[in-house]
Amino acid sequence: MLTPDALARIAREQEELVRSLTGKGEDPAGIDAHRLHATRQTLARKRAGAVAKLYPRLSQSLADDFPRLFETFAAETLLPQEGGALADGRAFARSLQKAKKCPEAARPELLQVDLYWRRSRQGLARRRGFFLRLARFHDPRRFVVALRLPWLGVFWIEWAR
Amino acid sequence: MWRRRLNLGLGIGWRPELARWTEGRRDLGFVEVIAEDLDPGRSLPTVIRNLRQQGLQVIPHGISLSLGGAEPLLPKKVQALAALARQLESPFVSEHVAFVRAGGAEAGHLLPLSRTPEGIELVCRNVRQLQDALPVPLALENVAGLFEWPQGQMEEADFFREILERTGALLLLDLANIHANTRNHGGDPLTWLDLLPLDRLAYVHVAGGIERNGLYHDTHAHPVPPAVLDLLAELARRTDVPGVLLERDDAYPESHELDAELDQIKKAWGRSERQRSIDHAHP
Repeated sequence: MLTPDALARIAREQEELVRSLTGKGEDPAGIDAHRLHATRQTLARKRAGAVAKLYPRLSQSLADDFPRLFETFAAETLLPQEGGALADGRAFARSLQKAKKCPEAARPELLQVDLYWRRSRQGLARRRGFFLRLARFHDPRRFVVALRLPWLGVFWIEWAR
Repeated sequence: MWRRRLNLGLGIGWRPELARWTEGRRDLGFVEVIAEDLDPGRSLPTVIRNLRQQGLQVIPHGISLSLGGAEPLLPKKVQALAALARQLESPFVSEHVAFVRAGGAEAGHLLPLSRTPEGIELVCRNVRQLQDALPVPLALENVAGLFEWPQGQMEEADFFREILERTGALLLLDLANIHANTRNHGGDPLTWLDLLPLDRLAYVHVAGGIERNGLYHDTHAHPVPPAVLDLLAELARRTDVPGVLLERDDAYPESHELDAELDQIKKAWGRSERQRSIDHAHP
């Protein structure tokens, strides 16, 4: 019989497990620690792999630093509730930008994402309104105008400088 | 009976990296798309529309509804799955007996459930809520888990059978997950074939994995092991298997290797072109 108490107990157990697997809590009692650790590693690897796939310029330009930097970020940041790996990667890039560690080569890739997606309370949501950003990139040297007009679509205009 | 009318055939989990290969392979009957990768508010991607025009069935496969979770189902996700089923004209949709979120935190992975009578009731409650919103039947898939919950766990096959019987859902039997769980926790994979209502079988998953530090990992990034193909052959001896789908998510092999793997699957399934044409002639 699924009483409110039983449901609350299941909710508590599941929350304890998810927090443990995402590095935010103790191992739940009674579950094999070695197998929990293996599951935690699988989740971490999957999370990093998904971000690397969606942000190839970012992960490649970070090269050998990517695993370490992403692991640090992931240990402090829960998976976003909206936007999946795209939101996860954008939040990771934002943390690098804040620390002035975001590679120059990744900036056009991030602008492409920002053209279609906006930051939401829970992660990323599809952009619906007006968006305009001017950017100057170094490799190759060029200016870019990224523009979104409702109804008309998106425009990416670049010229060498 | 619905199943006799629908012969899905050979299938592949659709991935952008395999798009060209999928279009080129001539004996596929269906693909599965990750429901969360499509936006039902927009028109279908051209590649998916092309597959539909070629006559392939497209099954939306949810990975984030969290049917075994204590948190209420998210209405947006329920509506999206229903809308996709309409848009793709799918014969059914599929999801997992698992949970992916708790306490407001996303796990990013399908996690196994604690197999208790209350757990069964919780899954059934969520499944019925989803079934009420869907325009087509729902097929439920078994998942792999490296760990077990403590205390008083039912046998996995019993737990799954109970859920199917109470909800009337169809069965998406993941043979690779059965193999993984029996490798990691013991038991006999044939118990699943003995206990489950095979007349509810919608289709089957096969996939590869690897052993690492004493545990078998269902990676979807390695060749399908012989034991999984043997299980498929045994299943095909016991019942009509409407569809077999290969899941490959990473470390994509060369086209000829993928072709060879699909051919091995067909052989284990006991399916030949002659048999398929007989099935089509007598629906």
